[in-house]
Amino acid sequence: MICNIPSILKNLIVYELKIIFRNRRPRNTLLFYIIGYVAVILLYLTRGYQIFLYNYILISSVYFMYGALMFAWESKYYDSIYSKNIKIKDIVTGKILLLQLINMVFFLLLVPFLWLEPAQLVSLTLLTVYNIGIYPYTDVLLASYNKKKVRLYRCRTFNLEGYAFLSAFGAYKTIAMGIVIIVITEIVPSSFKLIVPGILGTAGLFNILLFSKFWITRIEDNLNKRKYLMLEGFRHYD
Amino acid sequence: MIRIENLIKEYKPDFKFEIPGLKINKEACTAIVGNNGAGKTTLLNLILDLVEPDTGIIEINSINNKKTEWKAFTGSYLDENFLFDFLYPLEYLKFISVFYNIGNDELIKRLELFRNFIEPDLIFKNKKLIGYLSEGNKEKLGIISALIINPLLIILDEPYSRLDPTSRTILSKILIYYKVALKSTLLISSHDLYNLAHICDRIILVEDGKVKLDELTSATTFSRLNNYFREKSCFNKR
Repeated sequence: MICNIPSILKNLIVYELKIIFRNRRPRNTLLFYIIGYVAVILLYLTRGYQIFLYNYILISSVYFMYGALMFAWESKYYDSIYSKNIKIKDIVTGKILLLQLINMVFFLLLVPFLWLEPAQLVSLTLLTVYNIGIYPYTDVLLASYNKKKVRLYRCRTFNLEGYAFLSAFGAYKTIAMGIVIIVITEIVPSSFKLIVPGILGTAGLFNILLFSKFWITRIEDNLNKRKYLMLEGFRHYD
Repeated sequence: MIRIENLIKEYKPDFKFEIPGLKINKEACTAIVGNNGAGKTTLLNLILDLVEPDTGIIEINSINNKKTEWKAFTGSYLDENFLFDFLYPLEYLKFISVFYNIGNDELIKRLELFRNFIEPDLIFKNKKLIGYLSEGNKEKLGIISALIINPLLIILDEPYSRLDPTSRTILSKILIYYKVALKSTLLISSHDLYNLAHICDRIILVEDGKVKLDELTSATTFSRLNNYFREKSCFNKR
């Protein structure tokens, strides 16, 4: 998949990964994510009960931990980006691909732990398809409404800098959706437990195949419309 | 190269930037001078479409600056935030080059021009992230990043301000090379009257958001501008 990504998008994805690994706040965000990830695996190994839904919430939490502040991570460089020959469409596509890749990597890391329980593996695979098919688009769209700067060198702990109403909504909707899925799955009889993940996975797949371009254009338009607001909000970075 | 018409940008409560009409000729070097807060950077921001004007039209090579096509042939460096400080110098230059279809070999070849301007080890040895470079070296790297794409239009904001005397002289020679050999159009804002008077064909003096003086440079330009700013200085007033 990576081999088919054009060099401009690869360049943008690598750039975004460097933002994460070389700056304090996004790096801390990733660290929190990994701690949570390890905790769920330990829980799974020690308790051994059905926790695929917790796994689902865990791997989708990348969207509320990192995705909600997309664009704001680059507050400091926003003037620079807009003055260079970088197409906004490529930036949007790069961010969506990055979120999808992170989600897939963390899903693949969970697979060995679920190998002996095919039902969980199937459910989690379907929910991952839903994750990568829906959330990258909705989260990058919601993030395109953000105009609050984020200072990358600050620590993450108790730091809500950059969160606006919509980005907070973007963050918590992922958890809320996870809880809804848990409740529905608990209610339905055991023989139908794959129905909910199946429907969601199909929706995700259809969204990628049919509406990917629509979302990217919609986000691009929104960014162009809100360009000056965002530039002004992200400026004065000390 | 640049055409400005009825341009107004107001910053409440007390600053109004106003240019009824202005043309910057192709293949010429135009200097913008003026005291702090006169509106020099505002003008450059407006040209680069980083600030929304209240009214007016700006065209770059007959392309409205609201479109993006002009970015393919424009190199600019306004301030430190134009640099991605979490990257190494060569990483940054390579990152930019991708968007202008400049291959790695070509990039290395073009960097030869700046051999005396910046320490080659600083670029090629990847010792320090941009954020840890000295102010002068950041300025140099920013200027190189604007020039490396061999742009038709070069926009620089106070490029001499953080440079040592030797580097200032080298920069003037580099800018003359771009103007004469590559036929680039240069628009430079600076307080360095001496260097501007020597490399620019035209001086535009901005004061309180308005063009106060617009004339071709001559043998007396430097001393006349010097006298003008000396007279403005309260310290020298009797």
